[in-house]
Amino acid sequence: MELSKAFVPAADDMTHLETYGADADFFLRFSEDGHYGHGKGPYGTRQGTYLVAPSGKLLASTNELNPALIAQLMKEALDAYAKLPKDQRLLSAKELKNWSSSQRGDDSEYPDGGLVLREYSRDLPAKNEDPSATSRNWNMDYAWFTQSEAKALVPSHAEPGKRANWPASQAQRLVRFHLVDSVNGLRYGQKPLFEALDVKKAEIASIVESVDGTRVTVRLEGSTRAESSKPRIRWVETRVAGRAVWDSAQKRFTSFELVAVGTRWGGTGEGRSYDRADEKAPKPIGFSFTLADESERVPPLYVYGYGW
Amino acid sequence: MHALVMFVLLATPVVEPATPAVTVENVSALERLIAPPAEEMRYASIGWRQTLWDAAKEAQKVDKPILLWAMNGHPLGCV
Repeated sequence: MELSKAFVPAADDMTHLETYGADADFFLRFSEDGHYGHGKGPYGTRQGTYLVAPSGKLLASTNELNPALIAQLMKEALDAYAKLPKDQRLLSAKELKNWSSSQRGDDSEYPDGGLVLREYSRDLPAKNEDPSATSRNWNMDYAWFTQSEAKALVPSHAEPGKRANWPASQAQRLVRFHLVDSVNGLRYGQKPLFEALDVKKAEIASIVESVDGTRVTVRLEGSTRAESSKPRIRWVETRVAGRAVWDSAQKRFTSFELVAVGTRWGGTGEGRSYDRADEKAPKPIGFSFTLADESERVPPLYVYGYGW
Repeated sequence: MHALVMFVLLATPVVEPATPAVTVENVSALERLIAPPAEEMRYASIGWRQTLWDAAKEAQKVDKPILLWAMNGHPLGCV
């Protein structure tokens, strides 16, 4: 942690860094000198940890997960960086000018003023299993809704007992792209696990519990099911519950908690380690969604499927 | 037919989750069960810039090397 303060740390998605944009060009240039350069990585990946000067000169890289090794590489990289002359550490004025006018290639747009949820997914213990044996594996994602999409989740004339069924677009987005089994990792090629027609049930509703000035408290409830037979029969089925507070003056949710718990069955049969090939029966799975901080701006994995 | 139905019913795997019922009263308990404990999220406190682009521009200004963590999927999201 202390060592990282000597760097500017960044996390980024390989899917983006291997496609288009000035930053993708920058990445491809220095990663070619790295541990997976020249196509050496499994399935052509270049994922890993890179220590690089702003000029693009690679200092060190690895795809090992050993913390001691990474710390050692960080120290070696700092030593190497300190010994570099300025014109090798930093971009020249001309290069910087070109860079400043370049754009990061990105087609996802953070929904300012909208609803941004932090999602976790985890396998849950079955009845005949030790409750403390909850799987160590979990995954996370973010779910995005624009301000108008978020407003549509709350009854328009809020009074206790009033009910609003979530619009199909928002409910189906959750079922198709978020209530999915990615606990052990995302699907190869980041392909969606369910298509639109696989959404068999996406029934989520907000029921007003109380109104206090501009604050409307709603109870969330519902049930979902997504099912596909391609390439094998697989499904995820959940019951949904939660509570949220909508502030009509601020036009945003100030509190949001939603859980979806149910069962999952089957994998895609693509033969990866995360594919559930060894399982003989459906298993319990759980998802949670809470408000993300405004600093959390990582796009949802399947944001390109939102249709924005 | 009756025997066939019985066979199918007996052959179908049954799962009964050990989790509490999914109600608004249990939401917080279920969240604690699903979300990772704080010690597993320590990596998120490093102060990661969320794109290489942001880090590169900043590193140029402050004359520091970049530490890049790159994965299939964003490391701070779904991987």
